[in-house]
Amino acid sequence: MQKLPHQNDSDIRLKSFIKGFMVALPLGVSVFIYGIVFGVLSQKAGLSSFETLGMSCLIFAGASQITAVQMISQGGTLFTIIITVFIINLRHFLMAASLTPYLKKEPTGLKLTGAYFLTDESFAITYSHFQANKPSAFFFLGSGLNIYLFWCAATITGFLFGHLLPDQLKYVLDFAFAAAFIGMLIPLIQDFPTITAVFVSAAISIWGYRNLPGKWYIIIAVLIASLFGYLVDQLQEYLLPPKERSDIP
Amino acid sequence: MNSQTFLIIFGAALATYSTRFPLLLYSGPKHIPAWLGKCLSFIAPTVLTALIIPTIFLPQGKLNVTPTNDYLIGAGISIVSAYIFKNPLVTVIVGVSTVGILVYLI
Repeated sequence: MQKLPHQNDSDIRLKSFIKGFMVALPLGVSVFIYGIVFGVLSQKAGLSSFETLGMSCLIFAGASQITAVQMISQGGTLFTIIITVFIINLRHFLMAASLTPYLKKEPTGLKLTGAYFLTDESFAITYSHFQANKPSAFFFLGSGLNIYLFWCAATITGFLFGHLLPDQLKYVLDFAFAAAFIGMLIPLIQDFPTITAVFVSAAISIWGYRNLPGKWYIIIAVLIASLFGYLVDQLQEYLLPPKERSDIP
Repeated sequence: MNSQTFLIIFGAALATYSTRFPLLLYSGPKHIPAWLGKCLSFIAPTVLTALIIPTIFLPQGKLNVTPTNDYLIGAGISIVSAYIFKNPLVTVIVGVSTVGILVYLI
């Protein structure tokens, strides 16, 4: 017989969920601007409002949606579009891999639901929150749902009214995305190996963005930079006398 | 909605979900090896870096490391703000205000 969840437990879950939703708000706003851009592009590419909203609700991955819309308008084939979308979104594998140690004890159904809402933004929020707080799949779900609602609402707003927003204002508000990510990145940089990994990732990104197709540069940069960070960490351990080190979650 | 577009959207949605769930579900061996755990700890900072670097250094797809690049200046100020305040919301306000001032006032 299944035990009913304790009242206290469900309180904690609800609190985690709301907390995730609230912490994601500033990024939700920047996602809203990005979503408007997608809505405008999709409208210009000749998709219907239903198709545009369908994309945001079902695919829910900005860069790949923009690419798919362009490919549809240029008459791309079913297979090439789906493969391209898959490749652009391969980076989710890496994010899932780094979140999974924190969510080990969570039930499968909850993880499957959370996975649907995994984005760059909800990953960044959740990962940095888990550094200082007790990990909870409900926090992850709350932040993911926030981004989802903003993304879908923005898509239809952009489709209908996007042309009214001046380009200059869009340009200014677009920076919210970079600023929010800087705000989350800086506190994660705590030791020398991480500093080197971040610089390696930056250098490869600058090169790869111009020289590699699609979003491959992200995967290449992250894999090489993470290995590099690991090697620097090992070298440091070899050269420096052992001292207290924090445990891996 | 024509059926071709419907198939594309549905297929792309499945393809995207298939990048999201497998490793989130995979709980692996009871204890991940220390070296793998260490490697995984670098993923978050390097992913965040890779996602924003092109926006900051390559606006309009061209490398621009001169003071004409508003986003580069905005990023510099944002880094300082992030270091001092350790609060992403404050950094968003500081960063966007910086770019806003550069665009509208300077």
